[in-house]
Amino acid sequence: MDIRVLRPSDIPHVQLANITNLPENYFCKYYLYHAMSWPQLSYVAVDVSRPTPPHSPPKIVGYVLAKMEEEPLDGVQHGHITSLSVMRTHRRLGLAEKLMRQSQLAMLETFSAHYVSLHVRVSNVAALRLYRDTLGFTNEKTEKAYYADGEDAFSMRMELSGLKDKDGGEGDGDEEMGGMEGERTLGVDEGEGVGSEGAEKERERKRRVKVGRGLGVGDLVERNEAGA
Amino acid sequence: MPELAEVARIVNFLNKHAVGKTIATVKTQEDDIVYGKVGTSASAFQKAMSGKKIIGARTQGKYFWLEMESPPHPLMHFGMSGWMKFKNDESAYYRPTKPEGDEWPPRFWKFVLQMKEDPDVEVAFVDARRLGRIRLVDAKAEDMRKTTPLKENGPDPILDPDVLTVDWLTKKLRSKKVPVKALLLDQANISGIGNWMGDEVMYQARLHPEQYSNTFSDAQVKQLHDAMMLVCKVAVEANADSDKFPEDWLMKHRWGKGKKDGGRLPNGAKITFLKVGGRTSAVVPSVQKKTGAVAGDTSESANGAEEEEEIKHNGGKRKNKTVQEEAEEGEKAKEDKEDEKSAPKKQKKVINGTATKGGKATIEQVETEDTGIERRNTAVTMQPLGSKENSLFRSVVKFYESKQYKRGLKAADQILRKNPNHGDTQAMKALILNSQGQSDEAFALAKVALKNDMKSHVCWHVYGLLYRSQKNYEEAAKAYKFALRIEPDSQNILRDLALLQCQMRDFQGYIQSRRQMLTTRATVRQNWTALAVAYHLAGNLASAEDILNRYEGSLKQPPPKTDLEHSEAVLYKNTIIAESGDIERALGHLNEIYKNNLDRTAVMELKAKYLLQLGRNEDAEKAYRALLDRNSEFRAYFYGLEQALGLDRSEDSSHEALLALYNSFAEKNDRADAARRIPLDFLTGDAFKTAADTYLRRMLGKGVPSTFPNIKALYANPAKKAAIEALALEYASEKSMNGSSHAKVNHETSDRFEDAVLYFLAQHYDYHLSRDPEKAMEYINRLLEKNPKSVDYNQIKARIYKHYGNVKKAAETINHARELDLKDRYINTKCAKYQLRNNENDIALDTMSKFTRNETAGGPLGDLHDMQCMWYLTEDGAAYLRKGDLGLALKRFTAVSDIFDIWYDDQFDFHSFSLRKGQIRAYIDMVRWEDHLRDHPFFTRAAISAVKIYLMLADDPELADPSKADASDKQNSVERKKAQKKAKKEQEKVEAEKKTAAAKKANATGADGETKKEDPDPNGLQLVQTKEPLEASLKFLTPLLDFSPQNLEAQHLGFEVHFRRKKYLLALRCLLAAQNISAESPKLHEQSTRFRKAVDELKDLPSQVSEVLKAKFDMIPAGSNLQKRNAEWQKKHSESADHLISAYHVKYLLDNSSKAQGESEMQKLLDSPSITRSEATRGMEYLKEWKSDEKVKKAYVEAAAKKWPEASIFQKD
Repeated sequence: MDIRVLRPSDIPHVQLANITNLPENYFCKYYLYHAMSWPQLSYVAVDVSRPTPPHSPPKIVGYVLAKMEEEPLDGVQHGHITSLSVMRTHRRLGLAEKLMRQSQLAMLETFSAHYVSLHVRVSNVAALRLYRDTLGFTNEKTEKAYYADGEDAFSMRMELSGLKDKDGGEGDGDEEMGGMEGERTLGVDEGEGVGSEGAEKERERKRRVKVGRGLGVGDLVERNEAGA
Repeated sequence: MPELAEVARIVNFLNKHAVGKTIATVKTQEDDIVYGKVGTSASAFQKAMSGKKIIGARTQGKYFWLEMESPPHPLMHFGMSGWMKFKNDESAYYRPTKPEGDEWPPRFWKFVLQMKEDPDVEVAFVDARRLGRIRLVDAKAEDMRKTTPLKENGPDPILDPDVLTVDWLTKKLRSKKVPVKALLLDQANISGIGNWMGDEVMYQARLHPEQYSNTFSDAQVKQLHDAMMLVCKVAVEANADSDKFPEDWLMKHRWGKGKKDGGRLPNGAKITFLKVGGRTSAVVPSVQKKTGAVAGDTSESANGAEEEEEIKHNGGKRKNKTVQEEAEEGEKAKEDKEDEKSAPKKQKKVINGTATKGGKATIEQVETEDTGIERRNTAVTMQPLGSKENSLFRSVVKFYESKQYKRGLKAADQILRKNPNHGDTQAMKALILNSQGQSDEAFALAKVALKNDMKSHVCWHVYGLLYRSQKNYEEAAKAYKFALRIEPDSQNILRDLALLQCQMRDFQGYIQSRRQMLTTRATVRQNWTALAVAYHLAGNLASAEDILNRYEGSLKQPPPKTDLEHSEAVLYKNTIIAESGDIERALGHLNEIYKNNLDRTAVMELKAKYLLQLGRNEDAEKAYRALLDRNSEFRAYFYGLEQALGLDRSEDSSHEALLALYNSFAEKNDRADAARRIPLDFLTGDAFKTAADTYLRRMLGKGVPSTFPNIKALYANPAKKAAIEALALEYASEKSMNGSSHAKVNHETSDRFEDAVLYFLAQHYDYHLSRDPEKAMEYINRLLEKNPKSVDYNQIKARIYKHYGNVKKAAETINHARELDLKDRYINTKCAKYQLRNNENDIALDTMSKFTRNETAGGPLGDLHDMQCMWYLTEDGAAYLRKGDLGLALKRFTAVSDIFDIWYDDQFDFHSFSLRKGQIRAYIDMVRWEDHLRDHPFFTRAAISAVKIYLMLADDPELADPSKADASDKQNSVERKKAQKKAKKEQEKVEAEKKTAAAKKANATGADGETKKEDPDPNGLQLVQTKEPLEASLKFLTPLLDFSPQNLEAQHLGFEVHFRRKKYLLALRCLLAAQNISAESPKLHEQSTRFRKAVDELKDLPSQVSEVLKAKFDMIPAGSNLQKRNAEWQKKHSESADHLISAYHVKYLLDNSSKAQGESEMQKLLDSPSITRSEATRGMEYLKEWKSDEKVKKAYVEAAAKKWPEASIFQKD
């Protein structure tokens, strides 16, 4: 399964995956709206090993559709997950997590997002486990009857500052080309990875601390305000 | 917007409260526009200000700054909506504050300064629309005005009266030819005059704002100068408090626009509004007369050869930073206004919280182009209106733009009562009618309007808009061009035309329009990018790059890193360079922009690609490794790395190194899949077996249910298939041998492993390359015994039934699976699909309705249409087709084609939207995708079925009669009569229901909130009753052949259609294309034989046609013995049932006395061990075509049923 950025030609199959798996559906133009506004943020999981005739479009087995909040109510730049799903046939491969991490990295790098938010049905245990335990989202609040069928939503968010590399990427005087990319890994899905997911969550949490040079006091103040 | 006077006011307040004090704390809020666009950041600001003493506060024009005890000094302007707030002094605001004013920090704050000496004093910079700017200028206090950006601004009327003399102004005015107000407002000329002050100056000087600057007499210039100095002085002295302005100022009365006694001065003189330089200007026509050339009079000069020069000129002139900012701001302000428009809708989204609604709200945002009907200057109108009607007309336009259609119509009718032949009003009325869905009336009225006023650009523009809404782009473009001939300077019409040209792929026209738009507004980056895009799409890469370079060259200093538009634009340029083939130069350019570019993934990918293309393998290796560090699940990166390392999968000698490479990645990341899975693709023999064993044990041990889908691609290689099967069987036996001997702790994991193995084997034996349905069933049943409530196991069982051909049991089983988890839409979807395969259209729709929005107009089916659920429409249509209901089948396939039309139109709004967003690469990608949209299998499948239906209708028009559905199977006339009666009753019932339904929901709305028209043909009866089914089929066939020429079935169908249409050359083209794809296709054999027979018999073909046929149709030579040839062909393919069936059919066609022989051969074919179920089904269809006896058919079906006892298609029922 390849994880790569979404292209317009993927949209028909992304739409198919969405309407196959989820109750919240969108017409093509809404996908285009995402792909044309924040083309860096949406990712797809593609079944490349599937034997398909030549010229046939890629078989999409999972996607994340993401955006930047255009007019953030709190005034803080942040991303938002519009939709995420993986076909039942391709579950337990870690695709959702991998899709999310790529999208989050792009939110930070391209749009300087401070955090990413999303809504999830309170009954969707599998998704909650992914967001909370694997990725480290926290629950902000519950929104009553958020969904059309009356179900409540958890409004969750995750700070993105932990994704930043030690150097802050845009540090001054770093003339060496490409000096930043090696360090710009997510740094969370590597390592032993054994043990329960709960333990892993703790480890991730601890890592998500802002340290190192290149980040002035200003950054911290900003973040405090974001929380306020 | 705060202008010179308001800024002076704030400086007074700053002097009062802040100057002389020390800043104790600085709070900031990051903003990559307000700070970021001018090269600083909130944190830098905070750092620079903390603990510093404020020495003074000063202004120049709209700029003001705090003089600090040491540099840098913060220099700010307010943009449109910025302001300073003082915690302890509300009076700083020049307009009465709103009740929420005591919130602190105030809304939209950017920074807050708290003073040390007096902690109560806090100063906040607020800016709702973020058009203000805050920068840090590192210069000595006395040099501030000599430093960028202030030094690029003109003199300030208050500060520099000795510079800004009458003499100076005279020279300034005569050196340019622009509307005089535009000159005053350009901060590069004079600092501090904004829109309201500019209007006041023009009014006090009694001059017309549109008049060209170089047309004024000396006396008029003096008037202008005096008025300017007076207005500035008085306004500043009044501390910008409009209550204190003189009563005779225009400013005091212009805001009355729209109020009861508004729009007039106290002396009764009328105030009118027009646009000058993009800004709304208040003018009192009775005193501000034009005495010279006015903008718009000299339109011709902008065309032709001068155009090029003008772009260069304007481009070069743009060196002035402040001018550029102004332009940006204007553009941004427009966007903001549009955002405000959609704000209420967004709130609705939050309330309802439904994603579909959200989609709609944002789509409206995409469409936020204003409608762009220009309010006509009364002076030029051909049909003048009275003043009351004139303002009524303006309100018609306004009502239309705000979608208040009823009120708009009312106002229009009011005008028409007095001026029944007023063209513009009729045109506007037509536009409104069209928006209400009355397009026929709209067109009729628009034509009348044009007759009444041929010289009105409004009428032509509206005519174009009507055509556009009908998607008749060519006619729309024509109408726009007429409108432009009348009103050549109209930016709105020009823009509308440009968008159409892009949509129609008239790139030469698009280049022209874009060039003209750039000439008019050369300060806006978008216009440059747009022209580059036009060249790029037209294939002119050099010009595209040149245009982008010219804009960049005009930038005095590089935009800040955070400027996303810039970041994207340079990356766009890079892709153009690469497209031109000069990779070396592309890499060089990429290196220049690499460090600061915001799209990290893109620059890293491009760099790696270029390096590899240039053979710099060492660097390419590094680049690919860096990419894999970010994302190790993208095979393209691995392939790149392999190539950079000189490793070739097809060479066995590379395998060891490759395996080591992949192992190194696998070790690094425990959750990586690609690094573990890829080696299975290239390894062979024992190495493969070892690797597969490791991989499978790992995945199955974790109980990953998607293991099988992830490896089944390997089955194309029979040795690998066998190896995997052996491994899986080995696991299974391992398990059952020592299942109980394990310690209890391991029980869970070993159970998980065992289940995963069985699950794997069930899928293995169900897969077409390794199919053994009985074994598959056995494995899945073992699992179901252990866990009967597993959705997944039941789903696999249903799938096994499906592959048996037992659609009924498959549907039943999957429905059982669905009931086990009613909240999972995936299983619900699969269930509906299987029900459709079992021809249960109604039941399937009911299943779907568990997750659709059933309150949508048209219910669940309406929602599935709105949400463009293609798979459902296609499967639904296929089921109707199998049931013989051609009307509904065709209806569904047409709906799929309609969705493709919508998808094509979807790009329209992005021609402008994407330029505003600045994401050009993504846009180009979209345009190119749209160009081959219909090669998508979703279209191909629906189109093939639709063409088949039209062919059936052409061959047997009786099929169009719904009462004769399945007629071929039910020859019994009594039964048919009954069916007819029943159908008639049903028809009546449906119509009655329709009537009540229509009455009930006269205002039925679709997903887009627009009124939905009642479908006059819900069952597709009109579709099937077409008089010319073959011509109708072209709607599907043409795009099918154009976009999927490699599709064999499409070529076969193309032949059938064109052959019947007697278009022999087109038919031949399909034959030749089919021959190219598959020379031995059974269908091709049938068709070429039929074709040869037919053309040999045709005597009166036009000579040209027969010439071509003679030259090109050589797959069967003329005059061949077709029977003999068929016999040879049959012998050649005697092992293939498909070929034999075609051979029998050709034999029958050439000599129908051979029918009996063919029938018995067909029957015998069923005994062949290699015949497949689908081949047997095809044989059955030929027996039908031959009109074989019921007895013959029955015998055939019975034999088939014996062979495939599970297959529903051979069951009697």
